[in-house]
Amino acid sequence: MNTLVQKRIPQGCPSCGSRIKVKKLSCDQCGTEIDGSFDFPMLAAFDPDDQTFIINFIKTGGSLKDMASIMKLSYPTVRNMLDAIIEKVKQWEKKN
Amino acid sequence: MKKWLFNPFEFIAGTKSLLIGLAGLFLIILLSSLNQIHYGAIGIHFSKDTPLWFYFAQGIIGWLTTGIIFYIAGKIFSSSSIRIIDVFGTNAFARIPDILVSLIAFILPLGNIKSMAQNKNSLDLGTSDMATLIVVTFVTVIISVWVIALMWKAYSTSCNLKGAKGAWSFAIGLIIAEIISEIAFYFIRHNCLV
Repeated sequence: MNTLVQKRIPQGCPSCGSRIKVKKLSCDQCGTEIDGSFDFPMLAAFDPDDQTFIINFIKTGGSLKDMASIMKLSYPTVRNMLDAIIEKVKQWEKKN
Repeated sequence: MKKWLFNPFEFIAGTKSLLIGLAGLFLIILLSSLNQIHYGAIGIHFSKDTPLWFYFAQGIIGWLTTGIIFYIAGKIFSSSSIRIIDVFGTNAFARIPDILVSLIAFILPLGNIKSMAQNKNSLDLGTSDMATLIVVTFVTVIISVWVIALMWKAYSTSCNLKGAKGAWSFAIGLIIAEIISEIAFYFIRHNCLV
């Protein structure tokens, strides 16, 4: 029985903790492979919960009120989550 | 269930918490007036009976002083955009467990204890009154600690303040609010009550 396992992109080097770069990209359709050294996009550096929050935030047009309704949380709780993500973005920009 | 008891503000804030909180406050004031229980910003005590409007004044002033102080503290110490309705609403909601304190007076025989507190007599209680006093004190302390814990969660969530900064600003703000409200009660008692 095959079960689909959802793989997570590692956020940093599991060995030394340094920033990870993308070395190889491939096309499933034609088999083309691209080898190089590519920077990880910032949004991929966030954990899955934060990524979901950001996507939902965009889909609601930036409405914290709608986000609170979707997530069944209070407005200040959702605002605090957004502020935490903003802080993570600032930290990421500082490091990079 | 645990979250609703100790941090309901993850799920409720704003207008909803304000309406429910004020309804709770109204009930607390009515129940406490029937047993001469007086509330401050955080303090609870028996005192002489006063007109109903004074109980309302105490309840509203206690809530408003803490709300105003916490809102000012939030504006000074928090980098988040704070809504005033969240601060006042969650603050009102946090006081709901005080309903239990107001109900105690209907359940336990507090006649001699109230008389002692109101007339500031020296302690002259029988064994059963002492036992009742111990139970009332214990329950009141537990509920008061619960209310203060809820007020902390309300402040922390609505102002997005955590850690040492949040704790210190909360503690100092609470003390300032209690002082201001007691001063206000003093002036009202001496100028408006016969």
